Amino acid sequence: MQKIPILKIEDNLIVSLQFDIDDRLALELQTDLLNEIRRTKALGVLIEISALDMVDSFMGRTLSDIAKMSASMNAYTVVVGIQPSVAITLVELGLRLESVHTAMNVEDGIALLKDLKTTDTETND
Amino acid sequence: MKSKENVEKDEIFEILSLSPTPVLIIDKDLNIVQLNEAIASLTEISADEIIGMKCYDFLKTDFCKTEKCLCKRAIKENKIISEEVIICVTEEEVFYKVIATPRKNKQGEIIGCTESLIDISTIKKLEETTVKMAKEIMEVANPIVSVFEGILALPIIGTLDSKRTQQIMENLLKQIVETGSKIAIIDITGVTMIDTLVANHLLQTVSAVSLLGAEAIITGIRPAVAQTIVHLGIDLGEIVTRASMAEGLQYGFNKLGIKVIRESK
Repeated sequence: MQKIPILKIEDNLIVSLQFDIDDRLALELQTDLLNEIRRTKALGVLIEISALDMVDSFMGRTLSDIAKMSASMNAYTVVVGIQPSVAITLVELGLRLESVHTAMNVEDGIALLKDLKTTDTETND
Repeated sequence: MKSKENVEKDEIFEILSLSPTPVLIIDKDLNIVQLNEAIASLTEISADEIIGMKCYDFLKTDFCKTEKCLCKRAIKENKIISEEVIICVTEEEVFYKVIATPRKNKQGEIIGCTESLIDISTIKKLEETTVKMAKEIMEVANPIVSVFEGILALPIIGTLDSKRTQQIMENLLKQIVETGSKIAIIDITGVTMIDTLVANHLLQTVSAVSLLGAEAIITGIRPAVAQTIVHLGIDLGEIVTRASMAEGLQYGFNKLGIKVIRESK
């Protein structure tokens, strides 16, 4: 059975979706990610989807859900590498990917997570 | 009786041979009975040889031997049928408008039909050129300019329709990914009219750009356009708008942490 690996780098979790995943796998990823956040006390989740040619409404909602769920566990979610065609589909489907931050590539994504975390600490202090 | 019919044929032929329009006269079984100079000159076959040939052996079209055959329809339905068809007389295919008219004898019985051909290949060629030109204009009409490292500008001129906006959106997103730009300035100074549809397209473009992790701002909203936007009740929401492209550029600089300083002499 396929499983999507979740990598931990410093206080971020990184997931790279290399193939079109079905609904079951998407939900599994959701559960696994949340468990990992609790286990590692990660503050950021980075999901890389540049290999996906298509994101359907379910996948879009799952991404949005992951972001909301991890936010409640004090972790930011950044989705990176959205392909132009995927962006057009999402917009035309009217999916706003609420609570999801986006960045162009992994590098920008990590920088964005760092920014988000710093502004967080500043407001807390 | 036979000679009388011959005389009739000769008279028709005399009138026909003067006509510059290629004309064929065929009988009920699609045998060519008569033809004029104009049609004979289309091929190398002599007029005498053509007479007696089947219509579909002489003028080859996709309609031949099918229900669509113009002559068959004209004879069957007893009315004038005209259609644009590609005809293969010699080797090359030419666009003709073919008019098939039922032919009757004195008793009013249908005895065949006449086929006149009008060469419309020039018109067709012009049509093709126009379509091609429109497409080309479409392609060059939406330039995306890299105004600074990480900043793209997209001046839109003219009317925005769904097709054009779609193309603009696709090009812009492609360029953003290719150049890794962080800011896209959509300048609508040249857009004369804005309606809910156009506004919606713009909003979609801005959302799509933000999904890529870049930011799109709209500049060049003219007073009249600003009025229309408010009157139509369009909510530009969180979209950053600026009056001019220069201000938009300034915004981009601020976002990217670039400072422009005038050097004192």
